[in-house]
Amino acid sequence: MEDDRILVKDILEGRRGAMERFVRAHQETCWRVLYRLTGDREDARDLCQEAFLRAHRALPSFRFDASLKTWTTRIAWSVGLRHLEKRRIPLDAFTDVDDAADQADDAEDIASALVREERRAQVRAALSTLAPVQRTLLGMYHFEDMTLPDISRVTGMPVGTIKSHLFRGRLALRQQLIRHPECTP
Amino acid sequence: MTPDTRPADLSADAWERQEAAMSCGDGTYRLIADVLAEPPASYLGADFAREIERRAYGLRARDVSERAEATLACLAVAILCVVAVGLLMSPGALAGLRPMTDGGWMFAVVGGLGISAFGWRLQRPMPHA
Repeated sequence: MEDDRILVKDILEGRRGAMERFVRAHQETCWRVLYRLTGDREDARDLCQEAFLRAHRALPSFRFDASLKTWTTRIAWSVGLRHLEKRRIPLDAFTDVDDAADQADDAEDIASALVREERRAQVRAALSTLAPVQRTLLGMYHFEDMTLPDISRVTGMPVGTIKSHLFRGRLALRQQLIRHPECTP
Repeated sequence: MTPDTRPADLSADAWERQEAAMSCGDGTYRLIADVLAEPPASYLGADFAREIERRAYGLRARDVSERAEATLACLAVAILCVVAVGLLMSPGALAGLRPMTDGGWMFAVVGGLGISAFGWRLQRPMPHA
């Protein structure tokens, strides 16, 4: 947190290299969030720029009640959502899982029947079919190693809702893998 | 996405079982966990951060220049207003017969500063997040 304070002070004083350090520290996280939301590299890059410029303008109002990473990711998240809303892309489409939790537990373990790389490609393809919000939350939780309360701070969603998204997203991925046995050698 | 997105309708047990399956149980879930942990290839160039700094500081300078511009404009308006009011307060000054009173000058200076400060404040960048 002390490092954050020093960095913010340097940026507000317009010190050369300070803003660059800030961007370097958080650009990958922001890009991944935006890429998972939009599914488009070019859009994610443009939105990433917008998010950082917006963060720079809002920096005087940063109160250090969260880490700079959480705060910056929150800005990227809101920039991404606004972009999807503008393009009328549905943010959220819950998969109908009914009582699939039990089915999933009883289902045949197909992992051993699939060729390793094909399986991974299949998961990636299935991931791209998820709703943007689910995909992004899965990335935050599994790749960024963000805790549920951190994700809640970034997205403004209650922890229960985030869990529900994660659960349904993972279940949807699993069901897609089970439904498409064509990858079986 | 707002916090009122569909409320949680998930039992704690189902969540715990899936969490356990992701880490050590079901092979398909473990595979999903592996793939989710893969970073998407970054698309940001090496000079991305430098470019953002250039643009951010450029915007900052523009903010300051915009503020200065608004301050000058308000100052000009303020001077006109204050002179007009000062003349009304000291009718003799209109004809150059007697100078404005001390109170009049004080009023002119404070009023001018106040209106200029308003111009500065008006151009203050608003937080966006």
